[in-house]
Amino acid sequence: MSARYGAAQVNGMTTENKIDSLWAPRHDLADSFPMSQVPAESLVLGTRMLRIDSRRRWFPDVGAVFRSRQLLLLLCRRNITVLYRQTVLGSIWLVIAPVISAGLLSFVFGRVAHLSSGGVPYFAFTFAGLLAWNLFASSVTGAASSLVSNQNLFTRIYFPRLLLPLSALAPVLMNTGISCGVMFFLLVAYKIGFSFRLLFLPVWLGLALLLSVGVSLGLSSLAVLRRDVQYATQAVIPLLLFITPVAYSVAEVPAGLRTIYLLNPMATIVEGCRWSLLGQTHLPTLSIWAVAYTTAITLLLLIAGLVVFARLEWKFADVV
Amino acid sequence: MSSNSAISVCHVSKEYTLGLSGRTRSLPSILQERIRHPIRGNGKRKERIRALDDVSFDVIQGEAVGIVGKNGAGKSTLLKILSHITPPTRGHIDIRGMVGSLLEVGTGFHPELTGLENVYLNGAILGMATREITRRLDEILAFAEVDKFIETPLKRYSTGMRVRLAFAVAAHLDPEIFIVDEVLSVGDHAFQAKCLERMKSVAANEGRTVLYVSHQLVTVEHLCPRSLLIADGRLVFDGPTEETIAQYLRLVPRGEATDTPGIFDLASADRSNGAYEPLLQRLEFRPSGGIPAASIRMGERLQIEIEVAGLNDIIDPLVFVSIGSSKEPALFRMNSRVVPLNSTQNRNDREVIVIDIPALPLTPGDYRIEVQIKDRSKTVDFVGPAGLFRVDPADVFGGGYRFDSSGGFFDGYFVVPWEWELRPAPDPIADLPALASKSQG
Repeated sequence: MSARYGAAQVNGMTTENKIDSLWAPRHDLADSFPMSQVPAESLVLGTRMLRIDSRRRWFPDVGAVFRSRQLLLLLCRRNITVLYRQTVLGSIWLVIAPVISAGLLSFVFGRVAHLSSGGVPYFAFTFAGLLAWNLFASSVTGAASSLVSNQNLFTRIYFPRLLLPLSALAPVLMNTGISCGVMFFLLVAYKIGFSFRLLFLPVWLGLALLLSVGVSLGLSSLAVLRRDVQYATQAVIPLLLFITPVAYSVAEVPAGLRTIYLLNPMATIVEGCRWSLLGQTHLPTLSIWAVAYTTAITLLLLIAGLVVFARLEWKFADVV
Repeated sequence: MSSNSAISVCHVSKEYTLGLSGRTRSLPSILQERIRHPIRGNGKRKERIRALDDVSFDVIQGEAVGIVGKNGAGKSTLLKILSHITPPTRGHIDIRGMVGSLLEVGTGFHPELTGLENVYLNGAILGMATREITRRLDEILAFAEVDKFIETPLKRYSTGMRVRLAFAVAAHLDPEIFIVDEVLSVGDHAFQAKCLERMKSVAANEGRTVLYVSHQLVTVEHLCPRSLLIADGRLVFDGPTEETIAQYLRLVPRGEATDTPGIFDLASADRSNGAYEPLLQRLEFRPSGGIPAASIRMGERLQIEIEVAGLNDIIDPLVFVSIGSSKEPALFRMNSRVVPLNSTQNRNDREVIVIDIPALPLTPGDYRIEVQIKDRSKTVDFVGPAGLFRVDPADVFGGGYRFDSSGGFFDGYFVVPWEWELRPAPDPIADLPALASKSQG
């Protein structure tokens, strides 16, 4: 009996400890892995051919972004999901946050400084201004650090790096969408109503988005080289609020300074949004020249951002 | 590039500029230096190091190729270039087919996301289509053994669960070309075995191209018939894995045979690759304790003498002496923790460690010896192989069998004395009382 028990135990050991076969000497393994017998034709090769060399590009591979759209979507979803995990109010924050900042700005500029909103309730006036401004400011501050904070991704695996700053825009776009809803509610609540000019709102917001993308791409790739860029962005962007007509109207800007003032492309965009929503016009602001200038500078910055990104992209993994 | 090669590497070099990528000098530190040394120049000390130097090879489609080399030899750099993460400084690589590269597992895992969300994100980062992940989701979750926790945020997972989930996704990757860094070394033993099985089937049965880097030579040997050896950024050997591994083992400081057989010079071993001090001086094999010789008969007494210098300066030295074969560096190891290494006389700067093995239990073949001296956890000197010796066949059991593999048998590495006999099998029913009384006695 005892002898048998011993034998069974030995058998049990050998079957359980299959791992030991990894450490077995070679002669045992020779027949179990007939790798050399696999015919080379057994797998049809994909037609995709990739060349990896030291050439630097002048423009990012936009086609690759399209091919990786599923990953882009998942990264966007990650960025949004992560934002309000483990919060009680969750997505309610999307409504609360802009309302608080619009309320505060209205108080400071409307009540304390007694600036004029041109007959529109000051809160609605500020909220309309914040629409495009928040889109720009939060996407630039968010995207500027997008590469640095995701370095564990692009130093380990290849995927179009453009996806990182682009997906960082997702939460901002969602915020903007919600804020638009709140804005429409305000238009009804304050009995301002809607007009045909609302059709132009997507144009202004689109311009703000393109401008944000351009600036974000440039800043995010420069931040990979030097982190100073991140800190500078975080310090400067909120201050730009004061040279943009978000909480006050362009009418308050001294006439002699207006031309210089309008060099800021966001000035025209914010003013345009307010025109679409509230029907206020300050003709010098929304002159055809100002709009043309803003469009041109937006496209220029977009292209510049893409080029800077493409020129630096190749060494991201080495210098981050 | 030949028509059936999946990867074609042409004269690839990679240089890093230390000044640029290593450390950014901040403005305050530059100003500080300027104030201290107003005359000295800008002091641009941009040193370039070459991580890869003119590497060329082709991998045929369906081939499994291992890459071995010491730490810092350039293996990881090569994999990073092949994975399209970092560009080469010179040269180019042509890759035909979809590449799946695993330089680590669980890339892109986010602690706040649930297990399921992470599977999708990680899968997509590795290049899987969402539909493909959905199709194989059950398989992946079963492989990971975390079915119950898929809706739990990853931050609540144990490390083991995280690793399993990461591996499960990686294991279901279906690229034409698999580039794998040493990722199999994580996770528990059973899970490692499971992953290795999966790797094996990918390489062997599905006919995919595999490039595999590992320190575990056994694993490389297991998976890849062909291997590349990389040393100091250069491709120094490309051939059958067995030969590559033999070459690789030669990169360690090794003793040199002297004119006298059985005496090896350890003092002049090339220690430039490791931070070793030349403590070990000389090694002598003395079969039967007599005159030095490089071969010994099976079962004979073996005396090994190792001359050391400066061992008396180390307060608590540890000495390791390993006997190994070409494949297994340590078949058995003598260690001063197990048997304390004491001195009966006054300590001296030059001493001899005398090892006495009464009957050498090794089967005929070629063996090597490694000697290592440690100061607590730090290796002070290491030479391996320090010496080579051959065990000659002998009729150790007196039955005429000489263990010379003439019958085509592999007799194992060791010979231990044993006895056996045949007995009639007990009839389980009739002999029950007899058995019972036997087990009592």
